[in-house]
Amino acid sequence: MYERRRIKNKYFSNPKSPVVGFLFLLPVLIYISIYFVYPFFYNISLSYHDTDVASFVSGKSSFNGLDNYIELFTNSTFQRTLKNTAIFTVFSLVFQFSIGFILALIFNRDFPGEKVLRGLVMIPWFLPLIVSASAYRFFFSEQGIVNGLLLSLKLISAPINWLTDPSLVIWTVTFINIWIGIPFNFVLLHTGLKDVPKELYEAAEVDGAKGWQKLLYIIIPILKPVILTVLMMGTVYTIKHFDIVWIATQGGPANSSHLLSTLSYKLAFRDYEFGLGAATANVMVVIILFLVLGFGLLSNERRVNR
Amino acid sequence: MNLTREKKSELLWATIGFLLTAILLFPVYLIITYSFETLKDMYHMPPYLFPPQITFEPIVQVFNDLRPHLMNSFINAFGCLLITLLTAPFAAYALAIFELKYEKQIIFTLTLSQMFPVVMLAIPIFLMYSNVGFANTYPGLILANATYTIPFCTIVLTSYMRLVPFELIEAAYIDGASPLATFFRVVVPVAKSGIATIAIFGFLFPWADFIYALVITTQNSLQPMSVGLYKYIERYGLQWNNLMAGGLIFSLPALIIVIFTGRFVIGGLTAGSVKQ
Repeated sequence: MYERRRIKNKYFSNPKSPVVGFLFLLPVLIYISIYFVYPFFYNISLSYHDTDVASFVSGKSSFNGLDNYIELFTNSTFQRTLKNTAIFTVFSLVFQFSIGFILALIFNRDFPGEKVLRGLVMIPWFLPLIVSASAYRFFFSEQGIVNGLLLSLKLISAPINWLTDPSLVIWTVTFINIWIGIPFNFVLLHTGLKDVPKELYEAAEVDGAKGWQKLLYIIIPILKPVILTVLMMGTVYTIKHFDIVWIATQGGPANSSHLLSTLSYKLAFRDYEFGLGAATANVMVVIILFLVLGFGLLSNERRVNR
Repeated sequence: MNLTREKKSELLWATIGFLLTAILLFPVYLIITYSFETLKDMYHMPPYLFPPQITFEPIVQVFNDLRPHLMNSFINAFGCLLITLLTAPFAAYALAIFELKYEKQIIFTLTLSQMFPVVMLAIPIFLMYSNVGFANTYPGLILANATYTIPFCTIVLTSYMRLVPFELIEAAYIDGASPLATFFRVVVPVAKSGIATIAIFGFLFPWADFIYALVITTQNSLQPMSVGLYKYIERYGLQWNNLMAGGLIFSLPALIIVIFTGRFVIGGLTAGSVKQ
């Protein structure tokens, strides 16, 4: 009977049949075409058109070549935004990664309560961003706790305008993002550390290696793939960040704290300049693609060297 | 002697670990205590580190004000979870087990979709929706949120599905089971921890979404809690205790899930990132 069935339907008898596999994959393929591939190309096309509300409704937005991109790169808000995004990304990464790494090293030791504390460290990462960002908006407000504590400790004599001073605000939002990103770096590095064989530490200790020598010559080389992954994901996620800045400052005051994402949102949905918004988003895409390519080369080089 | 030295160092590291965790969690502690404080105590100088009196008023009031938004968040998150579970497991099975053409390219596209900025998708999706009247609808919001979950969960689950022993699948076929029956009776039970993992993300990602809700639901009655809270700051700018309380309520489902299923979450994160 089974024989008959097999002859009847050759697709159903081969457990690796490409046709059946394709059918299983189809819903996701359809979804990704409508919600990723099409929007991706639509966005590129938008960025080469002068699309605002009127031209979108009439369906007659005119092709304007590179005008949107030229307008962006000659605009001082955009230049400032590029600089902000660089500050936000570099400083977030450096501090998230090093604090996360130190925490991972500490929690790699067995001590009482280690598991519970490790779980608690994850909490900042699981708070919805609207919650943490709006809480920080209060903490850093004029009458918030940051000023309150600094004033009562007599470290400052007048409240600092953490979120309303144009030259300070990007650093404040970067600080908030560092706090949110520590757990992510911590958990991936900690998982990686657990895979370093204990015998290696012991052997190194017998050889008289000091703490930092162990770190430099044993832990970091073994962790290199994990470190590269964490850094790459961290870079990509930080460059496209939106929520904290939009919730805490909406890019203000006077457009001084925009990141590329918030500027793109503002251009598209506040100014209804969809073409300019799309172009800003595409600048981010290009940067991200270059970074992914760079990290890819780095990790390939590693494989060759081995 | 040796033992006491070991005990001492254990105690030292426990103290350091505890202190660092306490510093890191101080803002969370503040969110919780502010939720039970009067506005007057909140602005007291010097700031109170322990609330002098506890009030439930902020929690009650914000819950009454924002309950419809909380409901919308549940609809959005469960809708997104449902659509993810109806699509991602099949795709992950296909990518892990079957001999497909362009398999690498498909996985690459899925990964790329996670790396691109959400606003890059939000602009064209908003314009597409405006053309077909899909803005300000639950399905519109849910399907947009699935851009977080469907690709990510497919990638994560593929690495779990690769661990399903092929002999089991082969045996089911020899017994005459259809591909669908094989999937539900053999593959799903073996990969159930992976499916549990993606179910958690399938809920958590849309629960925390802010930008799609901001773009797609401009109508108050459809807005989820994230936008509800955001508008609450703008509207009642000074009611910060209510806002903290609202944030606390909104965080609870996520925190409960993570406390009880942290193991799966961390497993999923590692599986998702190692594949990149």
